[in-house]
Amino acid sequence: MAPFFAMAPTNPNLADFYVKLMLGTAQGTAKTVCEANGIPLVPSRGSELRMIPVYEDGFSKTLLSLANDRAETTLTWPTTQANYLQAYWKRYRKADKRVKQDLVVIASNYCWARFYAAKELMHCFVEEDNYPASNTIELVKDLLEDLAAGGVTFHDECSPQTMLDEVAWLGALHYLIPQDWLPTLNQLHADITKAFPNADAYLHIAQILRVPVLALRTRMRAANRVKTG
Amino acid sequence: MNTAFDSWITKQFSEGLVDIKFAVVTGKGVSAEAIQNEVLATEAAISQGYIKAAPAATSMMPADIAEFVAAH
Repeated sequence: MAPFFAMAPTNPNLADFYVKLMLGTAQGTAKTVCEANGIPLVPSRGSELRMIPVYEDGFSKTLLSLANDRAETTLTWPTTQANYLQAYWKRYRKADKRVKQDLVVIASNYCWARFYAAKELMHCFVEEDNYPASNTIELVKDLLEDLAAGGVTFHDECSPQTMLDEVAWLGALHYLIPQDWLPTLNQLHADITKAFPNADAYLHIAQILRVPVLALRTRMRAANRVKTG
Repeated sequence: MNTAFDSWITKQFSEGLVDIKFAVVTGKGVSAEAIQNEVLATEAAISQGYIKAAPAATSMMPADIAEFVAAH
């Protein structure tokens, strides 16, 4: 399982610490969910590719059920409309020391909702250590200001709260599209493109994995840059 | 200045909130206050029971490509 702990880092490069933590979390949770549901860990052909469940019913395990194994976690779908806010996650420690987590997802597109839910659920696997926690009014408002700025990329001068929130996107990407799947995804993309020159191969692969096509394209392009760079 | 968001988050801390994180889609001209207002609106909707079912898949792969993938 991934290293589900977050000691107050002594590593001077905090961003690297959180990136490794999130990638380890994504890898560990994806492995557990795939094994429980009979999804190949390393699919070798397109026909073996499956959607990795995030919160859906009918699966032995999901990312949400793993979070629930650690602490009571509820997922709510409000009918509200929002222009900016797509999802959020709250962790409470009740007076009896019980931990309760609330995940709220506003997005109504299935693939985007899965992506946002996965991103927020990543936080459930980071231990409560008070270091990257948004646990004062000032920290919460600073976090929202950083997120509103949008272009603020995380770096060592960025607050731990913002860093962890930003790298959770990376965790979601790696949970939904595991690293070991990329060779098969690349091969399937090439084969669909060859057989159906007018088809959008990225779109059809995204329909298998039930991920936003934008997220899939970004993930595959980035991985291929690393491979060939 | 004590805003409605300040009051809400203070109440959450008093109820045991120890952490909160957000997924936000930003763009030009987005303010932190606009996001705070959306949090408040969402919390109000939830407290009033405005809840929907989880979204379901609508986009489907064309049959010929689905057959190709199944044989891959």
